[in-house]
Amino acid sequence: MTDGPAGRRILITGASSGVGMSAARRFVREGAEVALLARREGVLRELSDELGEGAVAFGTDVADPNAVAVSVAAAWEALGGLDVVVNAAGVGLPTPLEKLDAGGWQEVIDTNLSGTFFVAREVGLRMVAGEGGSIVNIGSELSSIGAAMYAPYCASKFGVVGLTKALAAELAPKVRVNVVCPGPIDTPMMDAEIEWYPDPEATRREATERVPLKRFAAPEEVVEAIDFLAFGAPFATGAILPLDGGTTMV
Amino acid sequence: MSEGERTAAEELRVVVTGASSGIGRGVAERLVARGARVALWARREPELRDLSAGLGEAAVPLPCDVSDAEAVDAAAAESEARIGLVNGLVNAAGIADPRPLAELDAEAWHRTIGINLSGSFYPCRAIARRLRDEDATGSIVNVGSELSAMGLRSYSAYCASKFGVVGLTKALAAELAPRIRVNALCPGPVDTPMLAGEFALAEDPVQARADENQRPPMQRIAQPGEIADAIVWLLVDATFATGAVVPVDGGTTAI
Repeated sequence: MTDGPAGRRILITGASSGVGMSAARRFVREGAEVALLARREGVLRELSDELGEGAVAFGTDVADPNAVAVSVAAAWEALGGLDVVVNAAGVGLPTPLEKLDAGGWQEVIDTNLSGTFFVAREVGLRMVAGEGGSIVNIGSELSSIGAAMYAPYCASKFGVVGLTKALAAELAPKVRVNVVCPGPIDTPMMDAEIEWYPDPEATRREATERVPLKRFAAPEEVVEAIDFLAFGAPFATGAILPLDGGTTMV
Repeated sequence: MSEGERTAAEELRVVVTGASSGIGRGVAERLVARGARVALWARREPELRDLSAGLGEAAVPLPCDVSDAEAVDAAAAESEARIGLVNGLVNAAGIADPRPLAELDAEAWHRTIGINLSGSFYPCRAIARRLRDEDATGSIVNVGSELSAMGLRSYSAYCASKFGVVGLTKALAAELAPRIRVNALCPGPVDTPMLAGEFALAEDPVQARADENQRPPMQRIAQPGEIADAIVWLLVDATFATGAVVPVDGGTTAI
């Protein structure tokens, strides 16, 4: 690999659980400094205490553009710039259409799609004016296939791919923008989704059976892909990297 | 290479086709550096022997024309005899022979399809069969192209072959899961002897290279090493990826 996280300054959204948290732990372990963003300040503070001097935390709702502007400015200041952004904040529980009101739709679009945009814009503009950098967005298998009861999630994650390609075109060559599209991952979000169904055990079994590789990913495997796009693929921009155990190939 | 566990480098036994130059050569060098044993396949024997000599005992040169199904089966058997049961394959052999339609006769068509597409299928078949016989796990990376996703004048045969490589990748990924992962890496312009050969066909080769450097949003062409890095990553480290088509093209297919 050409490069690594050591000595890099990385902003991670959705850092309070799942992929974002796993990314924070790995990058700090490998010598990076990280700025952690998430809504839940308590969890965030515990994580930053655990990670020690390599981490700073900013309680932030990425759906709020003003909060994003404040936190990105503070993170930039605290770390003396940023080299990489990982947009891992995401929400989405299955919701049948009859229960999907405008508020439920808006929450998912605001966090997953607009939140990714607000952060990418605040950091991307600074990176273009500065030394350049790399933005890694998190899409989904639902960036390319549909799923019942996931209308806002699908809309938001398809949107993240479009956003990624447009920003890649606009910010090249100084800033690379790519997207990892994971399939099912063993995360608290996945647990919550599965718990929503009447027979969670059966749901988990079916969800596993559906994956050609016959398992869920560990968050660490997704972080491996984030690491690859950020540090190991200097010619990749606008790229969609599926990491889904084969669910979208058919 | 399934179950989320990376195969340890010393347990990797990989066939690399097109190993005598460009991307294939870079892949072979990186795999040997990581501690893998590698069978180097290519048609050009002198280049292959030079490379192999430089890589030491971990690399075994095997002259092979991948468009010849029988030669591939023989080379696969010989590879297993020399480095052990092959659990990795990188199909990097490829040619580009741009021709306007009027000059694209059946022979030229078959040559490009034979090496780029059939020449990816035959090694996949040979390696996957043995892994299935042994109930072993493995990983395959096929090399596609930005022309796996878009058309380009004078590249009918090349585009057909490289779109085909993506179809082959997805079908085999479905058929061989969960034991064998099959993925494709799709580079944009890469500074290889193949690309130099394409520039040489232009009226003004220097201008052609300058234009090509401006075409990707990244405003440059790639070095073979960065593509080889991505291939090795997909082969070894991307433990949850199968049927994935991964562009590393400087943004050419994003726009």
